Amino acid sequence: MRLAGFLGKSIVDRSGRDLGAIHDVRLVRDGPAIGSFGASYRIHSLIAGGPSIGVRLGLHREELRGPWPLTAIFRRVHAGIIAVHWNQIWSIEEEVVRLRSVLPAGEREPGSDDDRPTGDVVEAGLQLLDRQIIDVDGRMAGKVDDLDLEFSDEPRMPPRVVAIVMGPGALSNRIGGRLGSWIGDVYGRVAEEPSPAEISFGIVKRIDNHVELALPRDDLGIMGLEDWVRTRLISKIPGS
Amino acid sequence: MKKFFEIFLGILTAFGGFVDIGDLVANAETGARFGMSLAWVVVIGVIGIVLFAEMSGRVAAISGRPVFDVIRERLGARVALADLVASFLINFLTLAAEIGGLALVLQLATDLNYLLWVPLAAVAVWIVIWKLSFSLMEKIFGITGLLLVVTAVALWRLDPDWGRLLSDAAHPGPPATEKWPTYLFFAVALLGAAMTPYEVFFFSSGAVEEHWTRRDLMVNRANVYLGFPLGGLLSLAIMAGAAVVLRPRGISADHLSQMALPVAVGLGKVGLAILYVGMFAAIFSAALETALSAGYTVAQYLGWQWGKYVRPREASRFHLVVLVSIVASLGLVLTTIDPIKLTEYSIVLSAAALPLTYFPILVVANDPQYVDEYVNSRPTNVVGFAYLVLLLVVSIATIPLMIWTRVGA
Amino acid sequence: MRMRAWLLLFLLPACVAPARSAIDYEHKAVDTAEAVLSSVETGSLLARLSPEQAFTPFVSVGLSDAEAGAASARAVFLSLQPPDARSDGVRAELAPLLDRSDDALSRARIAARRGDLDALTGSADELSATAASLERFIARFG
Repeated sequence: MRLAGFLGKSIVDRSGRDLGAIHDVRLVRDGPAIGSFGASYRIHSLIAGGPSIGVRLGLHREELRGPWPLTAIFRRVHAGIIAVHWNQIWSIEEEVVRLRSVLPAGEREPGSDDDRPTGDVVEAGLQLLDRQIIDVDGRMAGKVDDLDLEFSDEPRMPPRVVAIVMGPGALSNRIGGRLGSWIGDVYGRVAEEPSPAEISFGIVKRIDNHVELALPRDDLGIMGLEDWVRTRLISKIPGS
Repeated sequence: MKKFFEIFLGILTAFGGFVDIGDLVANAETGARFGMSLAWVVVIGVIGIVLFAEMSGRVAAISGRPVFDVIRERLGARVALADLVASFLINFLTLAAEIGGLALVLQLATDLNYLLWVPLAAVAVWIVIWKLSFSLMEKIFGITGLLLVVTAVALWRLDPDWGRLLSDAAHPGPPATEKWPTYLFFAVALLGAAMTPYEVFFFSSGAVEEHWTRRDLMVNRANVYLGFPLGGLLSLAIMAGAAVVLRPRGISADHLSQMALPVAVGLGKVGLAILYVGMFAAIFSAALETALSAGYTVAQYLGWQWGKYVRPREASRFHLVVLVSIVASLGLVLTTIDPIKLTEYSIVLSAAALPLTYFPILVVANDPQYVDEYVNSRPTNVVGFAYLVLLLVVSIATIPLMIWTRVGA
Repeated sequence: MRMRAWLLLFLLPACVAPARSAIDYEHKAVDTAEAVLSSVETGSLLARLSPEQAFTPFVSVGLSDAEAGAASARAVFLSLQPPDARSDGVRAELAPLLDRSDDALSRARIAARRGDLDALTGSADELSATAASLERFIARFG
């Protein structure tokens, strides 16, 4: 399953009460090691409730000082945010994520009393998705269009992030709707491998305001279109 | 010393590169119809672009992330795609207007139909992008654009009633012969001409192209705080020239030839020759910027390698987008659509689209994750937020105004 | 759907609604007169520029543009159906002025391209006279 699949699903408690749409996923870096990255990111909780716009812009965070009217408005609006711990989840369905119990009104962080996230915590939508990927030589290598999750065999264990997924195949899901599926169809017909490109999270070196890889981009098999345009068109022009 | 020289060149480049076909058309048309009563909009527009460019330059210098990268990252793939489509289309219209403008200048100088010049202009733009280094390209055409200062010299030679000009400027509001909706429509056009989105895409991508770091923040501020307002003064000189030469005679500035009349009357042939070179350079500079911006926006949204700081073969998709945009603009101009009308549409629609680019930049310039300790100061945020509100109002009002006034008829 | 709406926007300014009343027709007549006046005044100014003040191509292009502008305004106005007898009168007054303007601008343009300075000066006078007539028309009906 892909991480962005969570975004937009509603969280519904045992009694059927709708707690809001998921607009981000909190990750904590306490999973089994992957490649040279070290401990992998695992899902800690799902962030939901209230309109998504301010959260996406990061306006609800304390470290953002201004502009004052925007931060004031969005902090008020996002006072209703809840963070649902992974162990509260009963099932993940097409449109909703169902919780195993009924949530008392006003409960801010259900299920996380015994497990406050410590260490490296990242909000996937805010800090990973749509970030620029840069390879070891400082060259651009695409965007983080989505993240691939690997579920553990143990039932209560949260899944961990194993790969960055990129390309029109992944982007089409993010865009969604008819436009998204049209893009996905066209790409499927045109591309040699219809499945989107994957970069193992094991070769990620660092996460900053962009994602740094430990390998050069040509080793990753993601430059198909670029290579095609270069060999067929651009290199034919003198001075390239 | 070297730093001082670098700053000096940067200011001159920003100064000379400020005016493009949009500013020329907007200021001349406004001066001819409304005198100086819309001069205040130019002031607002210049402050806006200074604010906006400084923020995006700062973000790019410290984080290495240019505008459209930030837009996608902040707004998410879906909303940013809508933003990309709108920005790309308006940028495309602007590129076509600039290429049309180049052809008009060449027609004015040679009396050969502008359509013949269009393909040459487009090819020239592409060749310069392909061959010249970023820095050289920017400086050569930006600094040559300084020749447009001839409009100010011509104005001075015309010996206008300065008191009258200033008093006109100090009393906003339509003159007796015009109505408020048309007045406001031209206000929107002037704002869109001064605060063009491509300027910001280019400026912030340019900061990455030239590998700016926090040590270059001073250069960024100097270029922007000094260069752009000086460019704004040129805009006002064009407006005043039209107010002094065209307005009293009832001449409206519908053609480039009419826009050049104040210089012809004030300085004669020499002035005209200088004006031709200045106009050509300034518009050429804008054409380069818009063509590159077409590539920057798409590549930065999709994460492709972009930029002139690598060899073309290392950024093939980016160069393909630039090439296709130039060819398509060429096609649009060759449909014989009036380049002046095309310019009018591009500046007005630019004004409507400003919040799309402006809002994410305002947010990110406050985010320590991007700019470390160089977050916006309180005063910057106050003015920044005021502009956000203004731009939203302008954006909402644009289409109704366009329809109501029949695009400023 | 949105695409069509956008296209409509671009076409809108090209549409000229028919004049529904005498007042409306008069307004359109005045607008036309003002537009043509702009061209005529431009022509007049250009024709008076000495060879030291302007290049021949500049004057030629300027006069061509002015001629094209006036011709277009004239064509649009003359294509309008006058709604009543009063409007017929307005049309009868303006139409000759439009013809004169068109004529004078053409002759100026031809003279400029040829480099015939005497003819150009003659045109300048003609254009000034036409401008004065247009101004009187505008003053009466505006």
